[in-house]
Amino acid sequence: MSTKRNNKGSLAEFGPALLIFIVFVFVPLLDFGTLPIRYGIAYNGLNQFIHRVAMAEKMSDAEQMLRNERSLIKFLMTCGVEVTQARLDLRIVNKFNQEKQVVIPEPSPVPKEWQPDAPNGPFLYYLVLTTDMKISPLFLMSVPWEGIPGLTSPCAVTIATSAPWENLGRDPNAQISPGADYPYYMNE
Amino acid sequence: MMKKSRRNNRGNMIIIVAVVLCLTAMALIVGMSFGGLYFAQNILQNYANELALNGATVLNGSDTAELSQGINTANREGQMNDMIMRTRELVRDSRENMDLTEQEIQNNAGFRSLSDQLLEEATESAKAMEVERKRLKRVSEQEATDLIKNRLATISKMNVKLPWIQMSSPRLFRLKGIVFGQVRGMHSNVEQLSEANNLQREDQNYVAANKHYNAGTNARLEGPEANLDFKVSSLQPASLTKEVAPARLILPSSFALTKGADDLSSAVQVSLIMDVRTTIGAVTDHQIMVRGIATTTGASALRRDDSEFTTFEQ
Repeated sequence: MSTKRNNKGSLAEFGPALLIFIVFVFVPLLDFGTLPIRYGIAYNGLNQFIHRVAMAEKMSDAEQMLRNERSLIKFLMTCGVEVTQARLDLRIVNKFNQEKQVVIPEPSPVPKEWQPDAPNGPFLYYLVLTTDMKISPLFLMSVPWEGIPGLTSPCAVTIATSAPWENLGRDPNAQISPGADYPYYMNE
Repeated sequence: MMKKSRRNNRGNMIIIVAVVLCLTAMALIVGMSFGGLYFAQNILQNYANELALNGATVLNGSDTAELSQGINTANREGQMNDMIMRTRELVRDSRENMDLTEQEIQNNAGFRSLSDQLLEEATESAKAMEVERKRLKRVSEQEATDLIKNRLATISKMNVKLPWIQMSSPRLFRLKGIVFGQVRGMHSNVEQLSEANNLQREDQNYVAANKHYNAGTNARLEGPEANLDFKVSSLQPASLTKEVAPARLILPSSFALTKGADDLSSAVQVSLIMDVRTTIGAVTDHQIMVRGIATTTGASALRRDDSEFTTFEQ
């Protein structure tokens, strides 16, 4: 008889214990475990994208690629990552003194002293994609109070990826005044 | 009955743990397979980019014969374009001198014979240039192809065999492994000479808005020399400050085949393919194909001392 009671008791305890385990341990673990995976997917997707954008002919083409990109945003959305904002910058670094660098938000022109033919060069040119995004946990639980990021509400993250700007030539199709040199593609 | 119930309860956790472990293992296997495919695709893309850049750099590089002598001009296509259009100018000038001789100094046999000789030499030079241009196309593309294949042969030795993924050696895509072309919309490096007033009218059809000759068109002259070919190819021009645009990777949308089949190429597309086999869990065979496209270095600026007349001392 006592065994029977014990069995009944263990079964009655097992149910709530399992529920508590799932709600307070298993689901939060899965949620927190999913965040770095989703972060990794987003980082790799954006990294590949910026490498593709950096091969554009002109900076305006790169801007247009960013504006028209839908497939990556859709893919990230499927993976639980919502892109809220993205912007392109050009980071210029002195090749021999990495501390000398400047970040130019696109589509601003590159100052003469930072152009490839400037005497204080040579420089390395990186196209930087800074993306603000919200990474959702695997199970998004709606709660009446303020959510816990990564558990009951999406986690706000900013990812910056960069790639070397490929086209360092000058645009021979640019409209110029007589005797002037063509502007750089990066500086249209 | 009591004993049976005890046995059932004892087995519950084992079943749950087994199911959870199976699910976790399956998730890991799927994750590793996808991760492996992504890893393989990244590696292959890097190889394709590297091969394309290597091949493209050779296109406008130096002749092997020159390199063996320690001469590195690294602008053979740019020089070819420049020489072709200057030969065209020479032919036009020689024809005009010939006409002038016939009209104004008809009785002077010496001048007549001299202008005849100059025109013939110019015409022969134009024909020789066309032969050389075709030879350069063959040579530069062959050198680029050889370099890409040799480099690929060294890469191909790197087979990856991990417990969960096997990657074969990358190889060139069978149909169009190496394709030569140009950057879409890029004109030639040759700028129309403002001094060449005698060609202004004829150049109207051959010069773009930026005063550079269009690539891929045959800038034939009018008159008796209309049978001569003057074809220039697409190449990034040099700047006034004599900067040379470096070789670079380009997007597939910027790549185009050359207009004429015998035009010099300034870009190369390398398509690689690789077999990938996932070996844990669901065994699957995949083929990954990637493309790397690169354009060659831009033209170098003409050296003024080369292009100006030289006065010979007697």
